[in-house]
Formats: sequence, structure tokens, C-alpha cells
Amino acid sequence: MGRISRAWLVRTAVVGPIVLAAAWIAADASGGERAQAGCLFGAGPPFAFQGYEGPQDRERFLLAQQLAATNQLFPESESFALPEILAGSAEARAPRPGATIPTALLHAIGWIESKTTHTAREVHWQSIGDVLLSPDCGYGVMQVTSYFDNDGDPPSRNETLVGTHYAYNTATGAQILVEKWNDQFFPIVGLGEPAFVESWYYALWGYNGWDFRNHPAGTETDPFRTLPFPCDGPRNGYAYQELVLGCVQSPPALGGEPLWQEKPVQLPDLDSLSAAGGPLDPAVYFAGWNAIRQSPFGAEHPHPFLAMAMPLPPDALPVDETALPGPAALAVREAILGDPRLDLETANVTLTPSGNRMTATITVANAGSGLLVYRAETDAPWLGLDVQAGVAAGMDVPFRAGEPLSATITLVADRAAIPAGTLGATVTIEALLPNGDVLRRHVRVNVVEVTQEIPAYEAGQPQS
Amino acid sequence: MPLPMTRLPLLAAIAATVVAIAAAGALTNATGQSQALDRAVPRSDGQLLVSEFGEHESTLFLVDPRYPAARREFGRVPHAPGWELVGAVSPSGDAFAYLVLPPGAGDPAREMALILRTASEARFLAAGFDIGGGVLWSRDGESLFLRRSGEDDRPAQRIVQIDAGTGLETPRFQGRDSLGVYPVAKPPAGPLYIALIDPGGSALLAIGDDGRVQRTLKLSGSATRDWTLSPDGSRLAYTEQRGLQLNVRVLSLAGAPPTLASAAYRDDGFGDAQTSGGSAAPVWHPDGSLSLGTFQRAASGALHVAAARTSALDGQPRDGFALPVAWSEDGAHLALRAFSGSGPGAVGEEKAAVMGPDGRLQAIEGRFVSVLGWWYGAD
Repeated sequence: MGRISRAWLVRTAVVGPIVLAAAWIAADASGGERAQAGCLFGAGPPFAFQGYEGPQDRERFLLAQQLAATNQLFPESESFALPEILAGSAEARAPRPGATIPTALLHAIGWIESKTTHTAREVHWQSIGDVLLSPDCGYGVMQVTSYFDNDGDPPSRNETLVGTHYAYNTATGAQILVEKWNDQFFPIVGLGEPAFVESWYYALWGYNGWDFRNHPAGTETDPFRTLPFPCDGPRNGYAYQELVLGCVQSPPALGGEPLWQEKPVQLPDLDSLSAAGGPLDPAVYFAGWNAIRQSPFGAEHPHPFLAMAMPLPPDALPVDETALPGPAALAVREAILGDPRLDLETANVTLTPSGNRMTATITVANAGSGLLVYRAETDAPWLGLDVQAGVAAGMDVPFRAGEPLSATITLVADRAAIPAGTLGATVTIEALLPNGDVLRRHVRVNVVEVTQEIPAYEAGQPQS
Repeated sequence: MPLPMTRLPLLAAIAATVVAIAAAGALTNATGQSQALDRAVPRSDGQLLVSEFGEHESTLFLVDPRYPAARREFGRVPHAPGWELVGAVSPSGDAFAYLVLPPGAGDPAREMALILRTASEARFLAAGFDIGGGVLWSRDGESLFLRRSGEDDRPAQRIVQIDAGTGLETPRFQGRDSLGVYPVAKPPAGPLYIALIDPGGSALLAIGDDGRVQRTLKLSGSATRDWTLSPDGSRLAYTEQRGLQLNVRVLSLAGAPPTLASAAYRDDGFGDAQTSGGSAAPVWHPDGSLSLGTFQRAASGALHVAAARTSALDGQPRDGFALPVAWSEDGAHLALRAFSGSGPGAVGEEKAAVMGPDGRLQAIEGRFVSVLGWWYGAD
């Protein structure tokens, strides 16, 4: 992901010839450089994750968002439960038991971030493939960046879950949004009542980055953009929070049916609020940053952007939203998470020569239900894995006809890099189960001593 | 095809909002004459190059300004979901440089690809640009100026020069603690002009070929946008922005302080829109006069259209306003963004449109259509 594909360059030139040779080289090099150096967090390359792409109707992903918004997805999990949501004005914020994120916000964020898909665009609906990865290393359906250290080490347990499984990814996106909501760094709309979609304006801005690019009266937004944002229109010239709120109001449609129920949204009155000294006057935003810069070293400024607090739009209506009844929520949760069971076809594989390399495959299957999340690691530095973590689908998971439910890890070794006398290595497969248990299996990777030179494989030349 | 009758009154009123401001000394023969002025006979066969946005692919069309409904497809540009290409037609009118977010990319601030398109080919030049800086052609048509932004945004914004023939990149300016750096103009024999915005306001920087800042001219104590150099290179028009308060100003590069462009507007007796309203999107006519869009804020807070020079087309001002985009080389047609609403923050529905010599305004067919410039190359 993030690389400019040859196919795209070709499609771009629909009229006349295209000068491709040098151009492609330049594009490839540029893309490669980004892939190595573009992560917002961590200096290493991004993780090689695979995930599951659901049906085109997005129903599973939308259900996961609904549960995550109401803390019914992982309510008892230390890592993935929704944090308690604060409510009240800046001076009197306190936990509000039972408060939830308006579900449409998560739906719209998912749409803006990924079109509510968890894998790369070329992956078919209802199949397994590479996880959607942005150039700055945002992973999956909610394009989570800050959760991953991308330090070149194997992914942690939680990195694996968030990277590979849409449900954990969704829960983490919801957590990040609540963190922004709760953080006193960001200003508050109205009395900080989470039941109003409009109250989340600044939290949404923070979700995408508290950047001047997202200032609605700044120079990177178009003063003549159509508001609310039409969810099927070009995003150029809009602030991120406007994109999300636009899709809350006008959900995308599939086959003429909206993906979720539309919700009227009252946007801030930019004309008055961006006037001199108003909360959306860019000068007030700059003043907040200046206050931070001028704070004594090490001291936190309590409310640097307090002056940006703005009233709730007068016609805003609270979301009349209740969590799913307990049994229904459990049933949905069960359908999403299932009861996965690791099924390794073999405990031994043998690397076989393929040109200058030696390769083997390990198949990870799920004998249970839901998505089995696995993590793979080798104890040999000379042995590479094309997938660091992924998922294998159970029989109950909607799947495209002909696509394998199981996952395949390809092991690759450069023959010249294998130390002399090496007999093999071990690949450890860990299954990360929904109940928190970790099931660990080892696969012995055998190296067959090759005593004669094997010619490199040439395309179209059968190997005997 | 003219618009349905129901739209005509609205669009006639929209035409009324584009104000042409005659500028004294507009045809002064100074350095940096435009391509249009360099030509003995301005071409009259220009077509509008427009893009119609699609979720995953935009379609380029050529539009005859006399018959906007008869558009012809010029090409398709696949892109990342949701992000429309941005670009500019070369001064010679036969090449189109654009930034597009490739499929699979996700960050328009750092991942835009630069493509150069002519009638016969589309050529990749470079990648990794920031959509916010747009695409600027040098007036000699040999170079492009774009913005790159680093991981830590503000301090890392920089302007680079790309050779339109080879794609070779030359760094031209490194922003420090600025909020935005934008390429503005590059006359043939003059410096590169850059707009620099920081919390203290906006400045115009003249950058020499050696990379040194030759001059710094204060534009405003607030943000600015829409910078455009006059055909003779002597003046810069731009929109001053304080929140959604927008006003066009003109700066003489000879050194006089910037003036409100609306002064001439009021002097012409077309109302007092500027006293409580605003203006934006200045565009130079080939004859050196300035066109801009205006709108007015009433005491109630609602916005109304200002009556102006072409209001005779319809008699009374109505809802709707328009912003000029670009004049054709012969000055006969003006491409516009036409809105059904009242002003910034309440624009209503937007349509691309073109106004002919008779002041008649016709919409260009299609939803989410943007005008990219005037095309004088082969179809």
C-alpha cells in the first residue's frame, strides 16, 4: 500500500502512449521510500498483517461499530473496553456512567477512513488478504496509527489483534475517539454532552490530528465548500470533522439503501463563530498553541484551547440511542468473535529449493468459528515470513466461493544466507483467542542439504 | 446547452456578482508579461478543461464555451477514493499538470503524484506532494512549483521546482515556523513569488534563483489566499481572509501598501457591498482589469448578492453568487464557480459555469464538476 502501481500509471494514461520506463522506476522508488520511512509511529517497516474482508453490505463491520460505540464489544477487556466517557463543561467534567458514542459517528469515521473495509482494495469481499495500510501506517478499517510502534520487532499481542481483526480495530478506533473526547487539551462544545453528535466536533478534529489543516476557517479549507459535506463528493477543501459529520447526515448508499440511518447534524455557524475573537477565529487557535509554547518546561497547560469552546448549535438534537439488549448484544458479539480453534496441518515442513531461495508454506486453519487470530515468529534470522500475523476463518464466516478459509504463511530463505550445517529452524504459531488465552504451537522447519548446484528457475521452464 | 428556464433567473443574478474592476495602467509594459499579452492575436479557440469527480475515478472533459452541454471526454484519472485531482493548464494551453492521490495512498498532504498530460500522452513526473500547495506553472511553461510537507507538518513545508520536461526536482524554499507556504507566481525574468502564512499574518516573498529571499512584502495581518499576478507582472491580487470575512486586495509590487480591490467597485456606483460584505477569487482579465466575486452580509446575518455591473441582465439582485475562475485568452469567456447560496459558509449548490461575451451564463453539465483551465491543444 502507498506505492504507485504500474497498473494505475497505465490506467492514468487513457489517451495516447505513456512514457513509462523511467517514470515507473521513479514512482516505484518513491513509493518504496515512503513505505520504509513514512510511519507516524516507529522507525521500522510496517507490520505484514493479513485480515478478513467482510461482505460488501458491511453489515458485520457496522455491527461491530455499534457494539463498540456502546461498550458491548469487549466490555470486560482491559485492553479493548470503551473508556468511561466524561461529560460536563470544562470546569466540571465527570464520568458519565452508561454514556456512549453516537453510533453513526463510528460508522462515518469507518467510511471516511477506509470505506468500511479492513483489507487492501484488491482483496475480494469475503476473503482474506493484506490489511489496509496507509503510507503513514494506519491499519485497517479505522486506520489506527498510534497503537503500533512499527519498530521492526514482531507485533505484540494487542498490535496483532488490532491489526488483523476488524472488531479489535474498531474497538481501538472507538477508544481513541473517547480519549480525544475526554482529553482536556481539546475544547468543548456546549456542555460536553456526549448524546449530541455535534458535541463531538473537536474530538473528531483531534482524531485526525489537531492540525491547522482541519481548521474550518483556515487556509487549507475552501471557504466556498458545500456544507454539509455530501458524503459521495470530493473531500478536497473540507476539514476532517466536516467529512465525518457530513456522512453522519447523508450516509453512503449501496443499491439505493443507506448504510446506516441518517442523522441531521447542525454544523457550527462559521460565519459568526469565525469572526474576530470567536472560537473558530484562527487567531484563537494560534493563541492556544502559543500558550503551550510559553508554558514552563515540563508544565502542562490545563486548557490551552479553552477559548475555542463553542455553544451547541441551537437546533441540535440528542441522539435517541440505546444499547442493544443484553442477549441480542451477546448474540452479535458471538457472531463476530465466535469460538476459533487453531488447526495446524503439520508440525513439520521442509524448505525446498526455488532458484537461489528456499521456500516452504505453513497453513493455519480454524476448526472452530469466527476469525482465529494468529501470530507467527521464527527463531532463525535467516528465515523470513511473508506474513507476521493474520486470521483464519471458521466455517460460519461468510466467505467467497472458492477462496480458502485458511491462511498460508510462506517461509523464504536466501540459500546463501543459511549458515553452513544448519539443519532447520522453528516457527512458532500463536493463536490469540477471544477469551485472552494464547495457544502456542511450534512448526519444525527442515533444511535439506543441497549438495549440487541447482539452476535458477526461469519462467516457462518446467523444473524436473 | 442552455440551462432549463427555471435556472436562468438564478444564473443571471449570479452573473451580477462577478465584478470587473478597471485598473489604471493595466497594460503597462513591464517585465513578466503574460502569454496572452505576448501573443499578437489572442486565440479564440479555447476549450474549457474540466474534471467530473467520481469516487474512484475522475473524468476529464473538454467543453466548448459556446455549447457547454456538448462536452467531450478527454481522459480518465483513477485515484484514491474520495480525492479529486487538482491541477493547472500550462500557459501555452497544451499541457495539463495535475496532482492526484493514487489508489492505495491515503494522505493528500504527502502522497500526491504529479502527472503531466498532453493530447498524446500522460507522463508521471514525481510523487510525494502536498495537495494544499496546488500546482503552479512558471509563465514560460518550463517549470512547475509544488509543495512538499514532512512528517511533522509545519516546519517541514517546502516549495520545490519540477522541470516539466525531465521531472528533475530543485528545492526552492524551506518553510520554518509557518502555517502554510504556497507558490504564487514565477514570471520569466523575475523571482519566484511565494506566499508565507504564519500566526502573525501573510507575506509575499520574492525568491531569487540563488534561493535567497530578495524582498518581503507584507500582505496582511491575517491569512490570505487566491494570489494571482497581473498580466504585466506589476501587481498581485489576493483574497484576505479573517475567518470567513473575505476581501480582495491588490498589492503593487512597486512597493505601495495593498489596497482594497473593492474601492474601484464602490467608485463605479454599484453599491456598497464591501462595507459589510466581501469579495474573493480575483482573476485578471487579459486586458489587465480585475474580476472578482462579491457577496454581501446583511444586518440580520444573512448574506445577499450585491447588485453590480451586469445586474441589468435580470434587473433585481437575487440569491446566488459566483466566483471567477479563469478568462479565456481572448477575454470573451469567463469560467466560474456558480453557487445558489449566499456566501462563504452558506454556498448552497455549486455548479461549474461559463459566461459568454453577452453576459449569458450557462452551467456545465454534471455534478461535482471543477474547471481546470483553458485548453488550446489538440483534442
